[in-house]
Amino acid sequence: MAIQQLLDPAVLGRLTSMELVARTVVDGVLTGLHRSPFFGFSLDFAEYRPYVQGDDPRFVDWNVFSRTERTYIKRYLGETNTHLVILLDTSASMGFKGRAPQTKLQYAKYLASSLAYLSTRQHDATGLICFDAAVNDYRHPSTRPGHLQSILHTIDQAEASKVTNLELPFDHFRQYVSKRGLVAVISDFYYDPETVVKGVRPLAFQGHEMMFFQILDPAEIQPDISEATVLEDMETGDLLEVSSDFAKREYPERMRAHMENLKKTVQGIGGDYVLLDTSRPLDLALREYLLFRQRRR
Amino acid sequence: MTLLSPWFLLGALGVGLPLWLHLLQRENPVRLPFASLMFFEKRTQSTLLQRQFRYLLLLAARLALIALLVFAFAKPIWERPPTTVLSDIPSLHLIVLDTSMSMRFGDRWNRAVESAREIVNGMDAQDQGQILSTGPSVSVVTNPTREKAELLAALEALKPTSSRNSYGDVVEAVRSLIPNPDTPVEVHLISDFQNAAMPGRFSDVALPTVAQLDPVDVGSPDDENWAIESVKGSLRLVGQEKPRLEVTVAGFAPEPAQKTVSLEINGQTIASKSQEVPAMGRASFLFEDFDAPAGFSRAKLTLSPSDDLADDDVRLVALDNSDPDPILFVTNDRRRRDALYYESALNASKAAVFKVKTSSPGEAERLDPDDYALVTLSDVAQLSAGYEQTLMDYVRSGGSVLITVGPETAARGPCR
Repeated sequence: MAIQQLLDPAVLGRLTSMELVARTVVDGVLTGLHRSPFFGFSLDFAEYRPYVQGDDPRFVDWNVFSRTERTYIKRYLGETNTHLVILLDTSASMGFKGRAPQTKLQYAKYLASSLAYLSTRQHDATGLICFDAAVNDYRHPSTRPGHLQSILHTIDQAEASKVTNLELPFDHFRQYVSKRGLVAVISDFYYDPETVVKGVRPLAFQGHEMMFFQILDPAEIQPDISEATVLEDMETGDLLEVSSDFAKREYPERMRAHMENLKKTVQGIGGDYVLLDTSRPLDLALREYLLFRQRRR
Repeated sequence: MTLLSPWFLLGALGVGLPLWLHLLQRENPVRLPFASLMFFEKRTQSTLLQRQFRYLLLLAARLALIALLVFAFAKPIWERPPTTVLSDIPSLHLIVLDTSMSMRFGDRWNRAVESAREIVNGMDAQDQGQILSTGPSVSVVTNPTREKAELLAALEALKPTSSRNSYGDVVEAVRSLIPNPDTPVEVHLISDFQNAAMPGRFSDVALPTVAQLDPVDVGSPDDENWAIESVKGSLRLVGQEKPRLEVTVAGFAPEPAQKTVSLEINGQTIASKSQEVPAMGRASFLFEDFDAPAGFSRAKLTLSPSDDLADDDVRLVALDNSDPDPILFVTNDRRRRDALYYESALNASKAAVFKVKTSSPGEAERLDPDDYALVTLSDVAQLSAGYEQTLMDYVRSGGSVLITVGPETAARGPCR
């Protein structure tokens, strides 16, 4: 099976273990990269590897070359001094499933698991906050053995319910995480961007690097409503009769404006914004994360 | 209003089906869960309300359709309010008197006439009366009149006949005699109401709504009667053939009775047979091995002891023991094939016996047509003038000539 196929959410949905999902995604992404982000400059030797075209010649071990007349790359374990906290939105709206093969929450869980796995493999301390109207689960950032399994289990148990309140998790974060690090917020962000930034801005001032993954189903970006329909809000239960004309013309414009507004607002505080379509593979999100981490190094 | 088939109203339970479907649809409105309605706006004109209104209209139409179908199957009949009782509107009294043979039974006729008299005498001064009789067909005895004396005189002149009655004919006559839909009509049917008078279809006795029926039954369920119902057998005797008569006697009585049937020929009693006639049943009396005189004989069959209706206790039949009727068959066919066909056709009839003599036109001129009951000219194109005159004289004196045409007469041209 091709690696790209393994990153397909429909394929991942057949895997029962969240750890297996995370490992499959991360390995699949890393296999496609030219340069491994794990290896860097440190005193901890990792391994030798035959030189291939594209490798930096500065890393060639010339001593070995002089003895064997073969070029080997000497690799060391990368150092880490940061941590990653994942804020996972488990509100009822995340349970929506439109044209994608799985719900938004399921996709978000794949992403959160993959980020946690990747972060742990890079020896970053990884933490987790699951929230909806309140903070449901909190795992403090840690690198101790077994912590990844704890995080993956927590992610696996998360279920979509209640309404969203983005202010609470950020308050919680400020109270319990004082060390600077990376913050990945995974949500559909049906929230006023200014309110989001209001909660996030103190974190940015504290030196945290923020990533915002907005998870949306294709049906949310362009709804399939061909006639006047009564829509039920999954969080509030409110009913609203909408016309197909509005759903086809006005709604996509409003949604696009919201996404643009969110992106600008997030970028205004130095954060990164990634829009994720739940029908697309996860590699885009992980690549964004890796680039983001590399930039912050 | 009345219903002819009220059980069909149970079909009204069928209205529950569209009602249930409607309620089912109401309980499950189409709701599409969506992540957030943050960017949606309420439609200004609710199609949901329009749809609900449309559903209500559709439901009403379905319920009305089923109710109408059920109502139609229940066959409703609207009765017009009785108008004949209004005293200020003059009524027409149609007095229909049954004059069939069964009215001769006992004193039925006298009672019928007496009932008719009472009706006439009970008429209001402005009411009109008209008398009808029913046998053998419905006859208008009087025109509509207010003169009671004229009506009573007409009653006195009526007598029962030997025919049968038909209530279908009575109703048909009443329909034609109603002057206009606004005139109240009372039909006084005075009869013994024999079952045999009922028509095949019940609808044939339905009176117009403007007419009110007043049945006057002069019969009695305890009346007993026995009748010679039919006489079958060989009434035309040929040669030495013996006559044979089978007489069927019908009994209309709750108990069996011993009955005797006597046969008289030309006033002379030939034989008598006795046997029991079962209750409400029939018995056959067989007469055979007796001699019938030559020529025509009058045979009289009499049922005894007699009952209150003597007319159906006697039956007359004619016995024909004469020689076969001679027929002269004139033809030019030498092979005589047409004569063979003609004679075979005549012999196929059991009611008469014929003796056919075949001859050519030349031979026929030497024969006297008065010796024959019938002269048949089979495709004879030409006769001598003398024989033509002979045949014309024969016809004038009561003789019969049958002329058939064929190829020869057609070739000769139109007959003179």
